[in-house]
Order: sequence, then structure tokens, then C-alpha cells
Amino acid sequence: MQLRFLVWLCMFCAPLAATGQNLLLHFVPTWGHQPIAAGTYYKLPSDDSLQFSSFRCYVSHISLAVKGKEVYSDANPYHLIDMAEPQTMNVLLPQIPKYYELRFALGVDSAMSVSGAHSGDLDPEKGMYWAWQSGYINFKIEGSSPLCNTRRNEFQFHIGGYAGKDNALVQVTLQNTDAPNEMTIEIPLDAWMQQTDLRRQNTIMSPGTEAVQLARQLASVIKIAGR
Amino acid sequence: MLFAVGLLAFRTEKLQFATPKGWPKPVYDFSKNPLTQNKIELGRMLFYDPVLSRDSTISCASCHSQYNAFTHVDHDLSHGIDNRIGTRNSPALMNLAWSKTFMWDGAVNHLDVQALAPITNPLEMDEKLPDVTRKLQRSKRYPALFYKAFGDSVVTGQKLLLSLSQFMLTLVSNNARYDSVMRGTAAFTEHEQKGYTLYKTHCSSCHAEPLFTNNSYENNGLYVDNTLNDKGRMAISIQAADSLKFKVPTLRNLKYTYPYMHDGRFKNLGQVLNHYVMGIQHTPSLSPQLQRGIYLTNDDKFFLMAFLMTLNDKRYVSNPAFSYPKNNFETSEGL
Repeated sequence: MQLRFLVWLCMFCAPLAATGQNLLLHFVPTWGHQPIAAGTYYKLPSDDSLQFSSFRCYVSHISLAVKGKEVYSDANPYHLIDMAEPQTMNVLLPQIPKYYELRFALGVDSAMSVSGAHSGDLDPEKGMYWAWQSGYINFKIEGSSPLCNTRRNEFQFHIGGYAGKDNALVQVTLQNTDAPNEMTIEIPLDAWMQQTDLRRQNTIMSPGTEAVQLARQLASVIKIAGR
Repeated sequence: MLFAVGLLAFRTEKLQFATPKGWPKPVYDFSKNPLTQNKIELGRMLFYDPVLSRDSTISCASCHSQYNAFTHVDHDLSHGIDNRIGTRNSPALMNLAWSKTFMWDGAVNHLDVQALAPITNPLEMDEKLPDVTRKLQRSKRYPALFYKAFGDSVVTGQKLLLSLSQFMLTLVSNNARYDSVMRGTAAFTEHEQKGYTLYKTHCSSCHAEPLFTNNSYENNGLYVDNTLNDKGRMAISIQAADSLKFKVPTLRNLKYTYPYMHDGRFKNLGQVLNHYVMGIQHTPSLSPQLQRGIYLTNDDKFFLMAFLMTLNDKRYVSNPAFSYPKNNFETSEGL
């Protein structure tokens, strides 16, 4: 309901999208296909509850393709999507050609993780750069659940890593033969959480096998809303 | 008026980083952060300003003082905010343009992001970068300095980090007696020359000239201090082969940088040499070069010490360009 309203609102408010030349993307973390609201309690299949306090992730190198061939790439390669700042969840791609496929990466590529301090959404003051060890955090998902035997029952997933087998950058490819001018990309945290046992896995804040697995799992559930 | 314009242009114009003759090409990519006098001076202000810490009590210089070749002298483990004690000896800062990685374990891969670690470490400055930029933006002094440096008074994390890098990159130590000898303007004494020969036989594979480090990680056979259980590089690489390995520190300016080793366990150089002669612990990751220990007679130690003292750069520790910029601070603040 809320999501449909959001889509309707965006269609209404985005006259640019109607020109047929731009593509407006909404990246929305969802639970049961509804946008997640910070502090709202959601129910896990086990009947245990959880709530999210923050969701932040990098969406990078968005491109459009036809039959596997890239036809467009985003001039602004790095977007920090932050649930607490709704305007960051919208990304406008101007002057797009006809396309069948939308591609992007979840996270920041290794080239940026080894080349010092960057600006804009990549500025380390955004809190998405590890301080104790170099490298960007590709996404942060934080909240709490009684399942977590931690201080204040908190879970903290800070997923990143750029080097070798610990590279947690994951690619997402979504097909949409309708080639609409507006799309909502759902990041279904309910589907992601189904693959995680919060009793066992609730605090991951360094690169490694677990981080890579969680990143792949998140990429695998991302989809276009309503499809 | 013309003079003032000329001066202004000079202070914003790109400066060429001078690589000392015979030294390798710097690792730092200056094309990504071209040096200017205004950026260097902003970085120098920030380096000496405790505003970087949570309660404005600790500056970079608190643990990296110039008199000590930019380390924290006489502290085995450096202390930070609220007298909290860290887990490692603060490294001496010099010749950073040639460093591939930073920190004892190489956790940091680029000079520009190095300062994030001490700023945010709860045992050091215990601050957050957005709080620092907010404090600087609100200050009377910094928006103008950022404008002079970057042509924009908006303070960002990136600008702060780039200007800190610029100041740190200017910290080049290449005026020790050794350097004069290499330039042919001085000669080693007989003792120093004997020490130099011993150094080349026993030390130079890791502490390679002219930087006196090869930037690698090595296990030099220290016994594990079980109050710290510091595994060094392994904590970062997650490779068992890196257990107990630490970055090879430079041998330059040893006179000013005591105590020695990652945990400051040796108070003087005599203890360091004795360690190599008779203290080496054999563990699987021990450096191949140290497998059979280093044999030094008392005379050898004396000669080696004489050579090591030629690596002290008095001009470096007293260069006014690197010192506390007292003209820019009020008398009641700074450091």
C-alpha cells in the first residue's frame, strides 16, 4: 500500500519521466513489499520480531544494456542510498536510450578503496569508510531483535572488503523488457533475513567469508517491484 | 598591491615535490593531490589542533611531536584521550611519501585515509569525522583557511584528509650525517665505516637504504607479550603466515624515537641489538634472515651504534617549517 502510494507519488511528481527520455530509479529496502520504516517492528517467520534503525548502501556504476551490450552508463558512478534521507533513494538517469537490462553494483569497487580520500557520496565523513582498516563499507544494516544476544539486542552488519577472495562487491542485473521510465528497485530485507540466523550471525564488521556471503545473498534477492 | 597578488598566486600554485637525489620515486601520487603552500599550511594547522579530538584535548602532535621525529617519546604504548592507553607504540612519522601502507600492521592502504584511524579510535581521539568537519565549519578560523586552500570554504572530510596528507608529505628527513656522506660532502669516521659495513651485512635486507625500510612485514623474533597478544599483520590479512609480523620501521632518527618496537618494549638501542644477538624466538613465521640469529661482538655493537647515530637528522627535528604554527594559534590553544 505504502509502496504503491510512493510509486504513484513519484510518477505524479516526476514530469521528467513522462518525456520518455529519463529513467527514475527508486531504491527501497522493503519488508513484505512495503518500504521499511525505521523503528517499526516486523515479524520474522519464527514469530520473533526485529526492527531496523538504519539501512545504507552504495549503488554504483548503474548501466543499461541491450542483449548483454552496454548502451548507457551513469555519469555519476556512486550513490549512497540512505533510508534516513529519502531523497538519496531516488536516482535519475537522464537521456536514456531504449534498454532491456538494468545493471548496477552493490558497493564500491576496489579502485576507490585503495586510492585515498574521495568527495561527495564517497567522502569518508559519510561514515561508510572503515577507519581501523582501509576500504569502503558497501552496506550497513543495523537494528535490533530479541534473537540477538548482544548489547541492547542489536545487530550490526557492516559489509565490505575489496581485496582478493574477500571482495564483497556484488553485481546486480535486472531484466525489464518494458523499458519503463521509472522503476522501483526493491531491496527485500525479509528475503535476506530468511537466509540469516540472527542468533548466530548478528555482528559482522570486517571483511571475510561471511561478509562476502551476506553481500551475495542481498544481491540475489534484489528485484524490480511488482515483478 | 602587485606584490600581494604575486604572493597569493605563489601560495596557491602547485609545488613540485622534491625527491632527494638517488631516492626512489615516491609511492604517493602527487597528481591526485598536488601540493600547494596553502594546503600544506592548513594541514599543519590541523595536525597541531586538538579540535580533531572529541573533547579538544589531543592533537596529532600529542603522539607525534617534532622533537621526537614525530613519535611519542618515552611511552611504550601511546596514550590518547582521557588518559586511555592504546595497544601500540606510535610510529615516528617521516618520508611518508615512500610508504606503501601505514600502521604497524599495514591496516591502512593510503596516506589520505590514515588519519581516520587515530581520529576515530576510542583510545586515541575518540571523535567522528562529521563532528570534526562541523566543528571546523563553525570555527572562526577554518572556513577562511579552507577557502584559501581549496577555493571553497565548505569543510569536507576529503579536504581535511587531503590537507593533512600534504603537511605529512613535506616531512622528509634526508639531512642526516649519512646523507652528507652519500652526497660526498662528509666522510664516515673509521668506526662509522665499520658500522656501515656491519649494517650492510646484517640489517640492510629489511632496513634497506636510503629509506632504511623495505616496507615489508617481518617477524623479528620478539617473544609475545601476553598482556597484549598482538598478532600484528595477521589481524588484517587473516593469513596464519602473517602471525607476529609487523611493518619494518625505518632506522632513521633512532636517537629521537625511543622506545623501540611495535609495543615500545626496548628502552634503548643496546637492548635492541641484544635482542638480535641473543633474544630471537623461533616461531614458524620468523624472518628467514634471522633463522640463525645475528652474531655481533661487543666491538661490532659499538661500531654499529656509531653508524646508526649517523642516521639522526637534527635539521629534521628542528625544522621550523614542521613545527607548531604558533603565529596562527592563540597563546591559550593548540598542541
